[in-house]
Order: sequence, then structure tokens, then C-alpha cells
Amino acid sequence: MVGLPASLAERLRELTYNERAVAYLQVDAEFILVGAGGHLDNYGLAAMRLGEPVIEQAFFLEGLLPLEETPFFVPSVEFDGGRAADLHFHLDDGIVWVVLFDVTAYRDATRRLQQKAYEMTLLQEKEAQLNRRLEAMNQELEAANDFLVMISTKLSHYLAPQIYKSIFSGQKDVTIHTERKELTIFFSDIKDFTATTEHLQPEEITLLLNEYFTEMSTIALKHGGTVDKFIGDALVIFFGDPETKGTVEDARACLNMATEMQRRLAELNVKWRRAGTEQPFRVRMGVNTGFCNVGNFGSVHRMDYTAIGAEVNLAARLQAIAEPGHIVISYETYALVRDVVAARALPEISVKGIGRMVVPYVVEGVLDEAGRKVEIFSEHMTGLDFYLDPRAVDATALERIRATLRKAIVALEGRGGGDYPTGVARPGGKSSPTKANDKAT
Amino acid sequence: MTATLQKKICMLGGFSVGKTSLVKRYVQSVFSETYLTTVGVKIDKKTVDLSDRIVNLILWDLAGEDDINSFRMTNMRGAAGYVLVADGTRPSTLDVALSLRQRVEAEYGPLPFVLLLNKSDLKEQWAIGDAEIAELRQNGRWVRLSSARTGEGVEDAFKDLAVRATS
Repeated sequence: MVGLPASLAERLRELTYNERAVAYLQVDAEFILVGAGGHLDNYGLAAMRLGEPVIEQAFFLEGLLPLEETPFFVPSVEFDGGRAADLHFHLDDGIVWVVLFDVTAYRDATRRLQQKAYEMTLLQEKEAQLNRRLEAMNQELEAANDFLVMISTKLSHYLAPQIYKSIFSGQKDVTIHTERKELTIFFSDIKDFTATTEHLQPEEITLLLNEYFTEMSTIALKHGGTVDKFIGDALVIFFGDPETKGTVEDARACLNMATEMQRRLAELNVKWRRAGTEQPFRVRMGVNTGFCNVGNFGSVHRMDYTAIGAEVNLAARLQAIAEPGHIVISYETYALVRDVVAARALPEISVKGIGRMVVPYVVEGVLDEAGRKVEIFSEHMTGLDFYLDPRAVDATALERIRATLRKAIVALEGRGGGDYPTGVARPGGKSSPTKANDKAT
Repeated sequence: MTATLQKKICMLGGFSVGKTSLVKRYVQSVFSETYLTTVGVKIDKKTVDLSDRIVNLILWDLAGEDDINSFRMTNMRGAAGYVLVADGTRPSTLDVALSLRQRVEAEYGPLPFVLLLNKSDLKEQWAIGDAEIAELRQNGRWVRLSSARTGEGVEDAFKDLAVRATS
């Protein structure tokens, strides 16, 4: 306190001693308490006994004596009763002095701040941990989802897209359940498929059939048909479930699909012929409209989404009586599409399960907007691929087509009749209509 | 020093791992759910009967280690051993404990210690795997799960440390 005015020095002494509750212990080299004083009661140390070992009376000194360095400092030690003191040690003439300063107020303030900071940190840690867990769960979910997507994508190839969509969007329950609905059913079959392909390798047949089905399914989808099943080389498609535009529109869509299939088949036959198949695919088609049972049939282990009923059988029967390359429809269907197709009635037939006589109609062409009949020509056999849909022909090509046809007729007349057996090329007969046409242009 | 065997033992570890709760459980057999952070040090005494000798453990419950409160190495002066505490639901506190051990060893040499993975009652939130615990136990290290709430592993840890600190 040297250099301080007496009044200030006195005030400081008072502040330090009283406000900071200064207390002290004196310990000799034998660890005997030789002196004690100040505010010892503030720290619960009032009953210190001089002349006795200090460690037994003040166990907090354990390990600290003798002093390894002087001065030495232990901040904020809590005593019984909750008071906190800074411990200041120093050695003077063989005696260790332990001076206690009360820091309870400072300790409490520090604790409040520290408590807040730690609680905040704990919350942040907890949040980070939760986020990590969430992230891990999300990853697991994503992986599970990817797996499901992969499986369902694989599965989708076994189902009609509409059925797949209605199941996977949750609209349809996968339970054994059927409904009665008015459907337009389409049956098609390749004439003499086995005979047509008997000289081909199994791999070639597979390729050919897959291409055929892919092309036909694509057209079916385009027109909104549900591809029910493939039976060997036969194809079953229905309109009216799970999506319907109304009975009339469904029937029209089916007829449009059937004529587009015939058109596409003509193109495919040309392609396949070039690739080496001798016989063209000639397809019979049958279409009927009527009430069927549609839904899941089978057992709980294995179900099929399909349509059954006498009306379905009738479609199959109409297909069977169709000429190759032609479409035969029932009167019920014709009644719905008569404003868009031209058809001729065939002798009536009876079908098991159907009480009435059925009048089949063979489709001869489509009607243009003015209601005029547009005949479609379709003939495919060894030496001939012929398909003509006058509606589809570009106006600028009309003259070229007429010229080609005239030349073709001339060529055929020149050949006469019956000179060459079927399947044997005519000597020098390489000039196909296409080639003749090439020369003409 | 005196006829009584008396040993200073320090509680070391990150903040909020349960050092104060472990001492409270051991000395007073109580547990409080309320978290109250320690500032500085609270010194407690517990007498252990080791059948052939009686030991007074002087337990220094030190403030937890963290960014704002770095560990005062001089508080370890005169310690005969220490209890490293980590919170089994917060893996980062195990790193803190292991780093403290390294720093203590660098300053005071190899001292007896036990490592407690505390809060074993919080099974749902437990975050330290068995493989990791097995690895911690290598070289015969004394590693135990403990719970100040249930008392699991507490008595054993201090008793083991009392034996090793006085033999």
C-alpha cells in the first residue's frame, strides 16, 4: 500500500479483508497447523486446532504440501456451505501460508453464464445428432425406395401399363375383385404362324415375335387399349377398363387401333421380307363389344388382371372366321362404329354361351369425314406385299402410285396364269413394283 | 505423511458428462436430474474400506473441459490417480477424455486411472459401439460403463482406483 493516500489504503484493507472474507492458515514443514485466522467461519473452518496435523483438519490440502512452487494458486474451490474461495499459497521462512479469498459472487456469475453456454451447446449437439439420424434414415429410405422402384420397373414389363399405373398409384387394390363392365374386346392371331416360321431358328422366331408384339402393343397403347395377354402368337386387348372414354369412343379407338395395326403390319412385312422371311405375317382380327367380368382372377398367390365372359369368347370366334389380313366385328361393335367404318355383313353364326344369333361384319374400309367409303387394300403372299390406304397417301404421290400399279398389271398380264408354282421366282422377274417405280421417277 | 492413507483423485472429462453426479452418487448415494455446471472445483472426501487398509479418497470434482473453460493442469498436482469420464450418448466426449489422459500423462507420467462411459441407463441414445469399447480396453485399461442414475459401475470404479493408488 506504499504510495497510496492513507485513507485509500485503509479503505482497500477494509474492502479486501471484510468483503472478500480473507482467512489464512499457516503450516510448518512437518504439516502441523501453526497459525490460523481471519474469516475462517466463512469457509466452515472455525474449529481448526493449532499444533495438530493440518491434513486431517483441512483435507482439501491433500497432495498440495509441501509446496512445489511458490506462490501457487487454486482458483474457485467450493467449501461446505457453498462458499467459494480462491486459494493462494506462498512459502515464507519455512512456513506455508494458505490465504483464502471469497469469490462466491464471481463464481455464481460465472456459473450462470457457463450454464447457459453449456445448455446451448448441448442443444446444438442434440440437434446435430438428430440431423445425422434423420439423414441416415433418409438414406435408408432412399435406398429402399430405389430398390422398390427397380423392382416395380421390372414388374411393370409384366403388366399392362394402365394396370401397372392404377396399382402403383394406389388407385386399385390388389385383391380378388371383379366388376361387370362394357368392354370392346380385340383378338388377333397370325395365320399359320407355325408353318410360316418353321424354317426359322428358334432365336429368329423369338426376335420376330417380340418385334411384332412390341409394335402391336405400342399401337394398342397409343389408342388407349389395355393389353390383356399374349397367348402364343395371339394377342388380346380390351378397351373400357381401367380407363374408359365411354362405350362408343372405346369401340372407335379399338377399330382405329386394328386398322393401324394392319397398316403397320404391311410395313413390317416388307422389312421382314428383306431380312429373309419367305412368308409374310397375315393376321386375322376379331372385335366384339359387350358386358364382361373384368378384374383380378385367380388365387391369393397368383392373380391375373383380365376379362372373361361369353362376349370375350365371341371376339375370339370372330377372329377365327376372319380372312387373313381382315377385321371381323360383331353387330354390337358395328352399331357403335358404323359412322367411321364401312363393313359388309356375313352369314350369321351361333356362339356357345350367347343366346342370340350373331351377325359378323367384315370391315371393308373406313369412312372419310364426308361419310364416303375408303377401301383399304391389303394382300400379302409370296411375291406380293400390297397395302393401300388411299387416305394415308400423299396427294403428290398419287400419279406415281397409279403409274406403278398400271405397270404392275401389265407385268402380271404378260405373265399369264399358272406358269410358275408358288414360291418359285420368275426368271428375269426381278422388276418389282418398287423398282419400276424407281425407274419412273 | 500421517498414519491415515489419504489420496487425491481428480475427476476429468468434458462438460456435462456426469462427473459431479458420479461423485454425488458415490459420496452421498443420491442422484439429481437437474444439470448444474461446476465452476472451479468441489472437493469431497470418501472413506473406502479395502479390508486390509482404510483409504480416504479426496475427490476433486473439476469443472468440465471445453472451449471456454480449458483444463488447469496444476489442479492435478499431488493427485494419486484420476477418473476419466465420457458421456456414452455423446461420442465427442470420449475424444475429450482421451485427449485429457494424454495431456495428464505428458505432465505427470503414468498415473492410475479408470475410464467411465457414463449414462449407461440411456440405452436408446447410446452411441459408442461394442467394438470401440473393446479397443479402449486394450493394454488392460480399466474401462467400464457407469450410470450415476442407477449407480451401475460407480462403487467398483472408485474402489479399483483406491486399490491401485495405494498399492
